[in-house]
Amino acid sequence: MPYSAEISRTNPTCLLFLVDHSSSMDGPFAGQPGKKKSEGVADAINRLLQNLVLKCAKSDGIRDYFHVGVIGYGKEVKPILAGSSPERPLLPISVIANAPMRVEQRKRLVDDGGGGLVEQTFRFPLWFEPTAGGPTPMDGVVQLAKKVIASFLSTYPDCFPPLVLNLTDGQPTDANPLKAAQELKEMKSSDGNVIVFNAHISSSPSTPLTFPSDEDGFPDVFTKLLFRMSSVLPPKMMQAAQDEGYTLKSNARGFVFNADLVSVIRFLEIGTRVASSVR
Amino acid sequence: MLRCRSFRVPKKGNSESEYEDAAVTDTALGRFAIADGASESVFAGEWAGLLCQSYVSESLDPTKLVEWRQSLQKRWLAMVLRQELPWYLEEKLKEGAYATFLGLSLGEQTPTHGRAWKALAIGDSCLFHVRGARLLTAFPLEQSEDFGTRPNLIGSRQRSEPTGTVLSGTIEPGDALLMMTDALAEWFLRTSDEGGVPWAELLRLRESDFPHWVDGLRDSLLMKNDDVTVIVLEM
Repeated sequence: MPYSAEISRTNPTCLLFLVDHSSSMDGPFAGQPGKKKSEGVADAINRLLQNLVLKCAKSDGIRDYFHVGVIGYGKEVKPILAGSSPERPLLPISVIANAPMRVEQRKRLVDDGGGGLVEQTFRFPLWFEPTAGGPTPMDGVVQLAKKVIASFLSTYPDCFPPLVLNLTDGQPTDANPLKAAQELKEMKSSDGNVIVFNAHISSSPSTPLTFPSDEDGFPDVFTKLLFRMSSVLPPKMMQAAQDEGYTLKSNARGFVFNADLVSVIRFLEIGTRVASSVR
Repeated sequence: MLRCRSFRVPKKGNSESEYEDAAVTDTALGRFAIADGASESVFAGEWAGLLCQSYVSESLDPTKLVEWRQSLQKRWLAMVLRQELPWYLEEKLKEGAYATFLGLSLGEQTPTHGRAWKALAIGDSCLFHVRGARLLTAFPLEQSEDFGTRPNLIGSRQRSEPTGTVLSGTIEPGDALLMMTDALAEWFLRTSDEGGVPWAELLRLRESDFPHWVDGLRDSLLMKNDDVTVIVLEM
């Protein structure tokens, strides 16, 4: 059965985030005037990285179940995760855990055990900063993603298939990324094909389109492009999306369009739910 | 006469020090305990160890679960705070460690040579009472379908009401009581459900054979890969 490989320290899997850094990412999320898209995305991925670290943390160290990369694309196309570089685009989660860019003190409300809420300070590590400025070289970043994933697959040919998540707010300005994305989706480990997710982030308050199965009612060619770049959800992720409250038809794809901040967070959660299967 | 043996094998891919189950036995006191530390939690092995050690040497009253847990929670916290912790462990400490637990205590030998037993279970570590080719009791789970991924657990920072189930029985000469954590327990119960006699093999094993036998079950996919802990008591 595909997508069933056990994720372990000797057989880790790969998560690769492609983050749009174009100028328009400076604009706000729909319905959240104070929150820039670039900030919302950075926060969401930083929080996800924290959760991944916690998932892998044991008393005697961090188990390297995941190799993670974040590639920004705008003025340049390059790895932006603290500690990564063009020569080392992916970092094992233990390296990420021990080397955040900085650690902020933030506050949150928690259950005080007696029916009330109490404010608790906690340490919020950050691994990259929000950036916005430049065009949208989406074909360029997908080409780079192919190289990064190919290298990972050659080292770990039996891995649980890598997941690539592209977060963008606009159309590609360099070349049509469809062919590169299809080639990326055709790459595989012995456990299945690489999974590609696309989230289009919006400043306009339209209803988000989530995990569609076909192109019916798509507003434009750009929506169709991102749909065709996206993988059909493997069963476990289908289940994760359903657990999150989404109703899906068969052949639903890893694609959300006109996503607001909440949808982006839920989208990332669903894609990385595979992390919950590590014990 | 009670013969007590215990076996343990860590999850394949893990080292001995990463083993998160615990097993403590005291034949003289007639008290035995196993616990399965949840791998997602930190210092789970330490928590499982505290639970078992305390049950066996401190004469726990199952009706006083809240007090027992509270005292162990303090001990666990003191144990883990002895070191400087990185941000992620500090964060995980707040959730605490979780474990399943199974405690067994045997009463005095009676004139008919039977001994009463009482068991306390929290979660899916199981007790099996066998006599010849019959499985008399499976506790607390009764069929292999009951094993899920979310068993009842006892936690080192847990505040909700702890819940355990209790059961009693009598063991006669020739009987055996087997305590095991969920990976092996699921295999055991499934094999029995299908008409097999899984204890026949287990009772014949020597300590040195155990790791190889477990490997066999794992390799043929008859059992999931996880820490394996068993206590075998024979009258």
